[in-house]
Amino acid sequence: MAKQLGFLVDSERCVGCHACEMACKNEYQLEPKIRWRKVYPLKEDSFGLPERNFMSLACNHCEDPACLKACPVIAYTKRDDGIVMHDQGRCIGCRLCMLACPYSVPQYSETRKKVQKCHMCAERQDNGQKPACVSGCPMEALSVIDAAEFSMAMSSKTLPGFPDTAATKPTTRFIKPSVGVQVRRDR
Amino acid sequence: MEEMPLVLFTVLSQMAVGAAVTLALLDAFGGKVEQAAGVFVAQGIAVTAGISLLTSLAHLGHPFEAYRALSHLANSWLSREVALFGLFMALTIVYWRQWQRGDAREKTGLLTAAAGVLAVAASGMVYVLPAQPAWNNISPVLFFSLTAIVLGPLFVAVLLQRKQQVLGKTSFSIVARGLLCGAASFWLYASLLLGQGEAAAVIGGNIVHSGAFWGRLLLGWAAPLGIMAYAASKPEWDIRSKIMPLFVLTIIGELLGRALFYGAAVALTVAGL
Repeated sequence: MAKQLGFLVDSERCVGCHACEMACKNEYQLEPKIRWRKVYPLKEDSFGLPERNFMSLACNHCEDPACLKACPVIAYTKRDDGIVMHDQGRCIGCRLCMLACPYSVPQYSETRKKVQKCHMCAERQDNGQKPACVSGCPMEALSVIDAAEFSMAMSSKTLPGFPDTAATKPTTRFIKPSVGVQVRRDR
Repeated sequence: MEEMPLVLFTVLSQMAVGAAVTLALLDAFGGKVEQAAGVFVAQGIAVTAGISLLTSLAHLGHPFEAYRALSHLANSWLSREVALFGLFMALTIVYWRQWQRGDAREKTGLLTAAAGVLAVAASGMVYVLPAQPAWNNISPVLFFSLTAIVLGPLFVAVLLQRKQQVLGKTSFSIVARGLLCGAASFWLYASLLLGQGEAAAVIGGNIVHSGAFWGRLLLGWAAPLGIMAYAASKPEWDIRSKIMPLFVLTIIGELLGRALFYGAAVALTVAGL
């Protein structure tokens, strides 16, 4: 089976500190409005009892990327390891990929007049390093997995609020937060 | 408005395609288009096609690199749209020259019309995207085709009138049917959206609560249909004094409708944010 790198997001560990976002912005000196990784709060009643949980998302490096199919200039390519790359040199700023991606991943830079997105720190990984967001997470809630081989009883392909995965087959995998126990005094 | 270049490009290019189809069919099967009038109409179609393509460039971050959009014909509907509209524009120029002098005018006209029809279909397919619930169906292709059907004959009628020729009643009957079909299908489309959950219902709400929708309803559908019904109710059909108001009202309606198409769409969102 071909290699397919993806992120494993452990929402049980994530405390919503946004350090992953900042590590990514710092690594690539992104413009203020642009975030390649975003931390989303989950609805508090997603797992029954009220609880604050978070979902940290970057590009899902989909198996069947809608951005790649829509792009008219072949700015998107998929590496052998499954990482979806975006070549800013080819981008003409038509923004169709932004409409095509179900996860709002590609973002438009008003200064460069081009789209940009997470490339899973491909160069860092080629040099044996972890992606900046993975290294920057103080809770060790992020890691890189081979989604083609990954199997973990606690993991899931989706979380409440994550758009339907059928269209593009995203490779991000999640560990769901465990449901808390609400202790009540017996009447 | 960010989408204005796309609103102008799609409406003008579809009008040019509708007009090319109308002129080609009139020339091949209807007869009676004088050469001077035909040259003038074909020139109008080529100029409109050219303006629409130039307008589309304003949407790009890097318009001078637009030629690269032809790179991904195998998968990207946008590449196919660019290629087909480029071909259509080139053919409108050839068609114009054929009206001036040439012995393959009818064939060139039908070829131009065929390229235009494919270009409009490709243009609609660009927006059929799983991430956009309101567009991920046949509606973009249907609405874009209806724009060509209603605006094309009216544009030809305006140009022919400048050369003292009047388009026949059949063409106006096609426009009226196109407007009725547009109104009915849009109503059904908005109702279906409103009846669905989450993003689709939000989009349906955006549409019916928008001033552009009611402006389109009154100016783009009710008023032109009323004018044509009034003309048809007279003992003798005479539309000459009403062609320009009909055209202006219909194009305003189509522009409002297209602004609504782009403005009301809501993409799938992550975590409802």
